[in-house]
Amino acid sequence: MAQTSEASESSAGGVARAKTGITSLDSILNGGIPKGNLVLLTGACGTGKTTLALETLSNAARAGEHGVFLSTTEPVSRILENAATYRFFDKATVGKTIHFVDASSAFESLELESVFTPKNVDEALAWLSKTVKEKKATRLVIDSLTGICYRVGKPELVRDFTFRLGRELGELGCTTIATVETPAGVMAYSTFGVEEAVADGIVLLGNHDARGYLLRTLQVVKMRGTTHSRARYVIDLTSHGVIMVPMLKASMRGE
Amino acid sequence: MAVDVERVVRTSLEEAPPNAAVALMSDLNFYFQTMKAVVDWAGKAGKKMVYVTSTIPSSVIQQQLEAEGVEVGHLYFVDCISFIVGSTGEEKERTIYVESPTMLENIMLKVEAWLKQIGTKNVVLFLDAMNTLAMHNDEKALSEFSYYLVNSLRVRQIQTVVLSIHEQTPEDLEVVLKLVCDSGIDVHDEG
Repeated sequence: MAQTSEASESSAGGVARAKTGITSLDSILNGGIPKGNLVLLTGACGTGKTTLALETLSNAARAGEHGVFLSTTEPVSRILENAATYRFFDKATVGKTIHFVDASSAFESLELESVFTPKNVDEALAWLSKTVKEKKATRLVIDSLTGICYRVGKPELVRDFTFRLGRELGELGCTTIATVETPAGVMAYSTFGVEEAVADGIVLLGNHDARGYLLRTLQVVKMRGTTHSRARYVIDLTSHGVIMVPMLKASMRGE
Repeated sequence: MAVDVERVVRTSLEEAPPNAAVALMSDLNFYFQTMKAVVDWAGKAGKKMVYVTSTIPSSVIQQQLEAEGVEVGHLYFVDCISFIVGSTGEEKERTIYVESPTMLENIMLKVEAWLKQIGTKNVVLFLDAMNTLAMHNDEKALSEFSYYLVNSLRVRQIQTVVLSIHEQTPEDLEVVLKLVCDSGIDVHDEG
């Protein structure tokens, strides 16, 4: 299975798609993520969420699309330092086709409370839509959505926020990948248990103990607007990008 | 009569289609000659070779081949044995290590990692050897691994050569090899 495809838009099965540029993942998704979808990339720490999200953005930028990387957990300088270790990442795209934005600074300049008021939620969503429009972004990575959801607070508000986020970005034609942190060893698709119900897609990253060794895994749990494989794959994070192969049945059985 | 290993291997591999999987069964006595013949054939044919070793550490293979005057510049190793015997040493340019030959998915991933770097054109995969993988893995897992590996390469027009030593290959595994491979080469003493 070749692992890298030129990321761009396609319309496999009559559905406009945003390719991830990771050939095996696009193949699982029957051509890519349906355009405008909000996809949760969920998993515990160290499962490869940020790397995979960054690679999709880089691949899209290589194909001429514009993207925004919104960091809620790390300073942008740190993200860039880490990104420079990957060969798929082209420093020249920074500020041109990929715009890195520090959420904390942005929210501070908007004078939002540390725990959002209902008005703050509106302001944050409006700012995000404005940023996507200004940067002409067709791709957005939010790393992590959990970081914002903690500021939103209660599960019912998180649900509403996630729903509005998906709807507003979808209307702009922007395909969004939002990383979601889950506790290690706990089977969960999101932090608050509500985000997955309103998101269009869930890609679950995890660890699997096979004969005493930890394998990184990927499984597409849900993706609205397309048929897709629900099989579990084993992934490797290399300097050249994410590599995927099917998980052997023997590993699943623990043999 | 002494068998001409180099000629038998070269002729058979030259005749195999570019996306074929070839099972190479060799007597233990001819192991080194057989392995050397495969590496030499690929080098002379201008092919890059992804060499999966679960038998001898890659550094030893390289030393032995170089001592015999065989070109090794076309080899890209997936070394599944050095780590468990504690001989990985410094990072080597053309070697990726897998911690254990039981990590079959990792072997698949590292093969893909090389293909991502060197491309898929004019590449051959050499698996050395099925019988040593059988020492570390059960038959079902190994069958599944072989089917995936060979077929995923076949669709990309990549030739696969799977070596196994006669005396150490369980009968069931021989059947798997016959099923998964398109042709076979038998290197044995004609005497």
